[in-house]
Amino acid sequence: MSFEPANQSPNIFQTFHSVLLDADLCVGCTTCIKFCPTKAIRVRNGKAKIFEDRCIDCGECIRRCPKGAKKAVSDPLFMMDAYDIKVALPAPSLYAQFGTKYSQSDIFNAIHSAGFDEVFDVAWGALVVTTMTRSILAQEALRPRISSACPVIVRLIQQRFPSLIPNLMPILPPSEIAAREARRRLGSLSQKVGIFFLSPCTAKVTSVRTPLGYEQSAIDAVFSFGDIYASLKRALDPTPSSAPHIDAISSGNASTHHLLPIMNNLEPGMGWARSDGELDALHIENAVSVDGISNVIELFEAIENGNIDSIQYIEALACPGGCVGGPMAVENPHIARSTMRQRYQHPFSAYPGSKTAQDHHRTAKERSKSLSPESSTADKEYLAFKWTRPLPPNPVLVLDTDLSKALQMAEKIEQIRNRLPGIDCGACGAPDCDAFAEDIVRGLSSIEDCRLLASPPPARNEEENPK
Amino acid sequence: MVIIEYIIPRLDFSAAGKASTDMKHRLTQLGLPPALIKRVAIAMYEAEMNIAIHGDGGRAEIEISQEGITTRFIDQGPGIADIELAMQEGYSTASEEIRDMGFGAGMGLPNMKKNADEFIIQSEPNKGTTVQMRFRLPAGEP
Repeated sequence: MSFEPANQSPNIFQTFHSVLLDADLCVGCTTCIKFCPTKAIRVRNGKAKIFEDRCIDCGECIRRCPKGAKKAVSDPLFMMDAYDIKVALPAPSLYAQFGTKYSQSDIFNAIHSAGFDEVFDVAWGALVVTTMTRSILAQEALRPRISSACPVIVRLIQQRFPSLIPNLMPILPPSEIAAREARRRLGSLSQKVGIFFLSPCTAKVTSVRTPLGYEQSAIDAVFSFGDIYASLKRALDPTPSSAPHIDAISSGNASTHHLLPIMNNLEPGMGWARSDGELDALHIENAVSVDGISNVIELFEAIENGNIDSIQYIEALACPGGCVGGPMAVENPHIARSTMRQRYQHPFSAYPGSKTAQDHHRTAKERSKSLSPESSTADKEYLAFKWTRPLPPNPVLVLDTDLSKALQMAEKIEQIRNRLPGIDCGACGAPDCDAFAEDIVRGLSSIEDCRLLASPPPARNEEENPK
Repeated sequence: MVIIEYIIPRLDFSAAGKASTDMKHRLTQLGLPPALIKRVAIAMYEAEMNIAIHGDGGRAEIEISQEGITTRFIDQGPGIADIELAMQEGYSTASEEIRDMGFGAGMGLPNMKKNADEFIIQSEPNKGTTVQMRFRLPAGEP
């Protein structure tokens, strides 16, 4: 099996993608090209080809490909081996991968058992984002503001909705905030600290390598839920033969003496695992939650047309159902949503459980005051978590930087468009006739590729051919 | 020069906005500034809605050249008897039914004028209305 990025053209925007094609499995069926929200895929010589400069790593093609030929690429687990202190940052949606018969503490402990020395919840970063969002909404008049937590949405705006760039919240994503906080707290250690984000999200794998709005990520590697699922499941359901083994690992970790505090009151942050979660935490009027990338595009078009006013805030998530619907999640997203809803009607501390859990609870009580973003409100403390560089528009759709040349090309596109059948059949390998016309003018395709123009289907004349 | 035409169906509010959305994509391809694209989109959307609500349907003709973007919205609807009155903010002849749907606030024409660099409206009762809006391109500015 060989993975290859289909298009190696150099571009300043992204040099890495976490959505790749397995050419061996691709049958060239054109399903993916129809669903790609940025029209970044073409079929050439019977295989899909991803235009890297247009791909926003949304994972929609992974979801749609009937042959499983689109792959999510995350970091290999052995990357942990290079570090002395291994810190796991579980995304809130990790707690939705296992049913409610397991408590949050159980899952938390299972992460330790899977080989991590420390666990710091991304939900904490989400709480910080909520506090910062409230503060920015109070200080700045621009509306509607758009959450920047979903990296796919940020890249979508850079490419298709550049006029909405100022509306994005200039705040680091929760995972990055959690990573920086964990690193800060462990900063005095002489050992080498590795920060590993456990994620359902392809786009966040890319964000760690090509950050949006900041220079460098504090995350060392991103592991997919799929890759760590088996070891977590084994820790949650020890079989008689494996139980002693698990115990040995746990004790070896000295699990009751963690360096990073265990926090309670994370529920509002945990809610971010699903759509509506950010708004539930933010709790402001006239806020809209939208999930599924085609729904997001529809809403953004309406905003740019100026026919939506009075909205203060938009939580926009590319995956259906929110992060629980991520391409690297394991549990069915609908089950996962339900699990999250049930789990976080109860606070973390309501789970009694093992001695370790009680220790966690005690530690949490002692430390939560100094840690809760709500209680240490000083805005300036959070300056470190704001974007540090402006977000540029992605000019990949621009035909030519010289306006007169771009106009000539647009004129040709229009002429070709008028010649094409306009039924968007996809047989040429482009998602629709508009994209095909554009490809021809860009020199990426030729009009002979239109099957219908080459041999028009025989005209049906019912009267001449009576039954 | 790029010339594009759109048909605007009568009272089809889900279709209204299609022309402005399509135009936005085309202007993005030309690399025009987002702020200009937004003005064009807002003005075109208002004009589309006007034709759908008041104009009995109609069409849009868009010309893009180095000098600028010219948009003409043409309908053969009932026309406007008093253009000066129609241009006032908040004035609308939209029916109760249309207002109930959240449209007809009387901001359409003023909003078009506000967003366009040049705005011309011609109308005759029972003959129809033509709205022409022009937008200068950055390169075409003196």
